[in-house]
Amino acid sequence: MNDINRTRIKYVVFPIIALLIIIATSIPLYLFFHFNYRVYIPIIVFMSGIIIMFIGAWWDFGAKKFISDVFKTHMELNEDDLEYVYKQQFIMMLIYIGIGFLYFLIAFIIYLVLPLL
Amino acid sequence: MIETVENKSNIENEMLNVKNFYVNFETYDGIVHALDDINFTLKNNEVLGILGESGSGKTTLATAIMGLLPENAGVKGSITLNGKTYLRENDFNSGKKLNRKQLKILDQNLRNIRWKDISIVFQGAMNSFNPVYTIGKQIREVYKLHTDLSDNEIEEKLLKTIRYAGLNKMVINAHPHELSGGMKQRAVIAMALALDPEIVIADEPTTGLDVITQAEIINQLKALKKQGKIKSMIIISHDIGVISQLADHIMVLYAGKIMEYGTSRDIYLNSQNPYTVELLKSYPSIKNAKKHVEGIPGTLPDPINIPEGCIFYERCIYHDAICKQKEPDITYINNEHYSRCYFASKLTEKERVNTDIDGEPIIGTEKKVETKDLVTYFDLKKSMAGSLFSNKERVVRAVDDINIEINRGEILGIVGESGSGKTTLARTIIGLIKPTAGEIIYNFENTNININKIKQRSKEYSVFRKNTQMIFQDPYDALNPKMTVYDIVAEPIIAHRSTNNPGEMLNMVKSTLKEVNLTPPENYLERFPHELSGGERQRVATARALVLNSELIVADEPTSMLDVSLRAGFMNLIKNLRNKNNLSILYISHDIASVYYLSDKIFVMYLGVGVEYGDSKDIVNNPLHPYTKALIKAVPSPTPDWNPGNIDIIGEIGNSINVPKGCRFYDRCIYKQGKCKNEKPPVQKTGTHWYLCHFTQDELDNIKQYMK
Amino acid sequence: MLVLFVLVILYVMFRLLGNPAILIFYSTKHHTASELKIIEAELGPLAGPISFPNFIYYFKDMLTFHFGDSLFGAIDGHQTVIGAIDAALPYTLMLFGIAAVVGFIIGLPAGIFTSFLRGKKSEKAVITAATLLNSIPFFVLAIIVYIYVAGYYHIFPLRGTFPVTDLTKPTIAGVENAFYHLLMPILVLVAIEAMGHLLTMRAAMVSVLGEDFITTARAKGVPEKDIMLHHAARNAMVPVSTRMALEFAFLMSGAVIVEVIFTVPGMGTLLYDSTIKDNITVAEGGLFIISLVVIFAYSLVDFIHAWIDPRIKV
Ligand SMILES: Nc1ncnc2c1ncn2[C@@H]1O[C@H](COP(=O)(O)OP(=O)(O)O)[C@@H](O)[C@H]1O
Ligand code: SF4
Ligand code: SF4
Ligand SMILES: [Mg+2]
Repeated sequence: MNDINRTRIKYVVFPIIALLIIIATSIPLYLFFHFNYRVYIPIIVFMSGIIIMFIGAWWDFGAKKFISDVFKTHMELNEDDLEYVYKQQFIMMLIYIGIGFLYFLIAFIIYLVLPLL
Repeated sequence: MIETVENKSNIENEMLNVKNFYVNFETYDGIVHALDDINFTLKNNEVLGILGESGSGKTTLATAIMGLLPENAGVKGSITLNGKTYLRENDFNSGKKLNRKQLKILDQNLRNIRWKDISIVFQGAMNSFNPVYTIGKQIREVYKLHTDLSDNEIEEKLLKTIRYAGLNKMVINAHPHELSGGMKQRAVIAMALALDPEIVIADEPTTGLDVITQAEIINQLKALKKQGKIKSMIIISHDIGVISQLADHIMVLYAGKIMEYGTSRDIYLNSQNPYTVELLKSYPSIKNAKKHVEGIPGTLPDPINIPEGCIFYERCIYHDAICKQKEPDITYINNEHYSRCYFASKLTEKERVNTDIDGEPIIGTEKKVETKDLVTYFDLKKSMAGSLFSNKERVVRAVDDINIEINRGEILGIVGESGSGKTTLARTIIGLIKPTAGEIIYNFENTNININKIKQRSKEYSVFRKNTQMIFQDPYDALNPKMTVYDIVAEPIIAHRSTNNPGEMLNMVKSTLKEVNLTPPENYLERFPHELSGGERQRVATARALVLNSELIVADEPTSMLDVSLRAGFMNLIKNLRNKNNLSILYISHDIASVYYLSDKIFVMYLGVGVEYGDSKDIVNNPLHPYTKALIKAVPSPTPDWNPGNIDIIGEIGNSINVPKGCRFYDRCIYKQGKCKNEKPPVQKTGTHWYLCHFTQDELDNIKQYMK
Repeated sequence: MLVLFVLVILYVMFRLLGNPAILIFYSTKHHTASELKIIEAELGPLAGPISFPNFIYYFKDMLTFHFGDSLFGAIDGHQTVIGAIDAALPYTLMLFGIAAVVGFIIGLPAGIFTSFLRGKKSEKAVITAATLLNSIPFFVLAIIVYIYVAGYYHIFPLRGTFPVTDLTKPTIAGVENAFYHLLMPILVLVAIEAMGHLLTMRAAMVSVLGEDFITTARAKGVPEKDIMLHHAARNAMVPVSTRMALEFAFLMSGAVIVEVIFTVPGMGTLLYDSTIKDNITVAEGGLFIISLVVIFAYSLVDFIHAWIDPRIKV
């Protein structure tokens, strides 16, 4: 696996862990209390998916800081480099939106699969 | 050459005449007397230099000549251009408001003069351009305002001026933030010359630029003067070196008054004013061997309550009882040279007695610190964002394979342009940055400490910490504004638990303050940094570094923020401390003259590598590496008949990312040959003096001969 | 993206109350199963218990503007929520749009002009007046204006109602009529909005005028007028355009309040009535549409910003 993909995965880790936490923390609630897992969790997961998309669209993934670092160290930054930064930003945004959809998917799965268990 | 200029200017008529000129500013604290009885004439084709410390009124004079004084300014006297008085008493006097019509006439008068007759290069060219418009648009504006040329003619002229200033036409379409400091400065000069003005005023045109860029700008100005593009010029600076390069006449300003006026030669070689004499003495120069320099203690008088008598009285070593009572008049030494002092033409050399250097340095043979193949890289790709957004290598080789050693009692000076890695090296040695590779071995309190092998919290670590202290560049940033001087100096004592006894602590602080000449220390203990002057702050910072009797002090450009008159004093202080306490000091500066003055050994850095090392005398008098040669050539020397000619270097310092495979200096070297590009140069060594190049001195000379 | 975000917030807001259908069901007289069905049908996106499919329906309905029916009978002859909004929105858009543009057109030049008056007494007067006006809440100014101009002197009508066709299918007489009714509310909005712009613009101008490049421009002999308009104003607009985004939300809230006071039958009045009557379907739909308008205005700002300042690229 090349470098860039490894970095992208690092960025992906955070929302995925968030997803797992949402799912996992509520399991004890479900097991030991009267908590209607099937009603609330899919909704919460779905909403979180939207929030992840929102983050993907608004966060610059550290691009601003990176560019200021580049300037600080007297490195050159030409149009092509900027293009590259935009492109990477765009790809990351798509990835986050994809993760948002993953959240949606999980929400549906929880909703549909849970009663079968 | 100076002689001929003088003769010529005597015949020709006067260009600008400033007569009995006063400027006051009304402020909340009272009336600030910025300029006081200024009289001078600028003749056709003459270059007048205005010299003075910051705060002496240089910029006020320049803005006044442009008629650009702010609204709270009051003016007396008159300024005449080409026989036409365009600014006179009451024009700006805040006491009497002008009516609308008068204002309009004044405005019209001034607007016609501005730029067409007098143009100005302001201090801080960085901000002289409007950030939202291109350079071209801003220069074109000048033509549109003052001429009725057609667009094509304007384009033609624009190209020409841009070339005159040594720029290529790409800058026309660039926004200011896309240019480097040196390029912006050239663009400002281009704009100033656009309309072939009678007079160009240059206010600190090179402050904030690197030595080499500075020398290039000076050369450019000289060339323009020679070609006649610049007719008359007023050049303002606190740097005698810069002024000496350009001026025919020099005016020395102090606290808004002219202290001395005369031809460059008279001022340099036959100054008859204590202030000028002291100011000249405070410049270390690479020509003056290691002649002792002396600062001027004290500060400018309060501009609101100018004291009775001579304004320089407080700081003057020649002063007499009469100086305090009545202000001295000007005394003419010859018809072109006058001085404001009772003792003008009777001055006898007098040395300050109290600040002589104590003792001789004892340079030991044991190494206090030694670096072995030290490497510090900053890899932007290491961070997450960095690796996402960089499509290429983004490693800054800030320090690349450096071997230095400092003996006990020795001062090692490091020089290089900014960006050459000096600060990073210092910070690595002091342990603020972890080295990427290599070793640093210290010898403190008779134990060898290897920075890679010690653990935090170990005894060695605290010995290492205690014995390495740093003095930072900016005395305004380095001191916590909420702490008193006592707290600041006592901080390291508490941090290292040297003593718990409050009495002992107080004594330590006091004696250290005394050592850095903050006497009596009791007056300083309870003061806060904002109550101190820049020089005093830097002394407090020094006291903090000294209080633990550390064995190694690292000083990173400690004088660059200080006023000229204070630099020499600070350097002498460091020298003294070294001699007394046998300190080892790493002294960093981009100013080779001050490094030469202070250091025993000099290490020249370029883009992260050391290119030359040796005895400071050898380095300065017999530089071997092409970069060192250029650096030394670029230092303007404060003597009127000194010509750097070509400084033999190409372009500006690059970045340490895409460094050439062979010699680091390849892109800027004028001697470069085929093999420099891909082969790493070897170390050429004679005794302890070495340099990094493929060629011997003879070979370099041959290459140069061949080029001609 | 923002739109989805707004949806999430609206959902949480309205659903925290519980299942609206059940709430309404208990407030009716006849508790029968068929009654519940009817209520749920009317509720549109809000219907049903909290459950995942229901949540998905909510999204679908909201995004396709199926807001359901008004709970308490038709509003001005419109049974569906979207119908009611359709009738009310033109008024609000008119108010908001005109006030934003006019506020800008008046506020910016006024700010620039105030910075001309540096150090004069008139400057202090202008700034004090602007600060005062700017800090008056919309509703206070609106009420004062309403009482005096409409109530006391009868210069303008007491009721702001006029046919929506005057806006949607304008004729000369129609526009005149609309203008007659809307002038007062617009003036109130513009007064406060323009003062805000004036203050920001003046502050920005003052700081820009202290920059070195302005001194250089003066030295170049650029006439004072051109310095203000070309060199200073464009730089000063950077902070102003940054603030504009916030300003839109503020202005929209003002438009809503002012409508209520002048009884203009726009979104504000619609929202106000529905909130008072617990007409939650209308409230939800109305809030959503208003958010959409603000989000749209907001995204325009980015374009303006990039044009003003070439340094802003990322
Ligand atoms: N923390 C840092 N991160 C990245 N690059 C740095 C950092 N500190 C310094 N640099 C870069 O290292 C190079 C050497 O800088 P520096 O040591 O400050 O040189 P000098 O002291 O000669 O000005 C420069 O390109 C600088 O920008
Ligand atoms: S007049 Fe007296 S105090 Fe002033 S410069 Fe001359 S000697 Fe010094
Ligand atoms: S090795 Fe070549 S490029 Fe490097 S300094 Fe020597 S001559 Fe110049
Ligand atoms: Mg530095």
